[in-house]
Amino acid sequence: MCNIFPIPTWFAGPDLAIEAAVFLLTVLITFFSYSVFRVAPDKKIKLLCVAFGAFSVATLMQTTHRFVLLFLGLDGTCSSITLQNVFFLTGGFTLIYVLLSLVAITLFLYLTLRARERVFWLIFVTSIVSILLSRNILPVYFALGTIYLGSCALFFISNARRIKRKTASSIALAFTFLTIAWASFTFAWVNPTFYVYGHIFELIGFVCILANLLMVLHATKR
Amino acid sequence: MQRRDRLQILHDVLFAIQLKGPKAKPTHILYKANLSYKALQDHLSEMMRQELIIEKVLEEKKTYSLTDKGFKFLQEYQMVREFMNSYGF
Repeated sequence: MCNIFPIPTWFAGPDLAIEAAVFLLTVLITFFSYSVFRVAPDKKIKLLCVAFGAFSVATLMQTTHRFVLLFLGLDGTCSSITLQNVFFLTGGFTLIYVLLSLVAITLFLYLTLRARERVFWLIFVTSIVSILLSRNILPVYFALGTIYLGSCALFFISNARRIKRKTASSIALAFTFLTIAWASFTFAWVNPTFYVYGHIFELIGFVCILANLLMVLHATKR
Repeated sequence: MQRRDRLQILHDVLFAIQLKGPKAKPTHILYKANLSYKALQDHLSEMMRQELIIEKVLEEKKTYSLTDKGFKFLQEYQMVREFMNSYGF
């Protein structure tokens, strides 16, 4: 079972800081999206809020998981009880992280496909079943995530080319970075350096989404 | 001619109510927002549920007026539109 990332030793602390920064960014993005939803109670905006909110909680889980692992690692003891706890914690946190972030990514895909609601459930259930039935949960999740985010990125790129606005370009850029990030995480089991690239691209991706929201607020306040 | 999305229709209906003042009649909204009677009824009931407008019955005639939430929607519509456009929705 591959439930733990192969992390380069020098990156064991900085990754926690990046995870925490991504969590803060997703919280801000969810807050801004919710403020838009409060003005215009539209189903699509609501689903975007849910997607960003799910990402936010998933990242919180990931950050807590990293923190616990780092804390247990620094303890210096390696008893069988500690190892059992690590396996139990890792399994639980990984499952919650995968479930929540898959909800978010599938919602993005569903919104860009402009399909019926049952399409969302079909994609979500088949993805969950295939992830849970696989021996390596995380690599399969990141591989599926790469495909789904790639599809979203293509939609947002074509939208940006059509309407030619900075706000649309930032979203296209964000989802392109997120696709690269997820692809990097998939290859982390081949070479741990990809784990570092994944984190950096993930951070840039969410910064672009936050920049989009700030641009939207700034453009309409003028 | 491009098909209006739900958000655009919502804006058009609220704008029509704002134009007529505090007591807009369904016929007036119907013409200004360019909607069929059935579509207008559906949108009005949904907007009342979302507390964007309130319905008043005076001498067996229905009139509609904007709530604070409805006014806020009209003020910040451009922001919402820009947000939706950036995602291509």
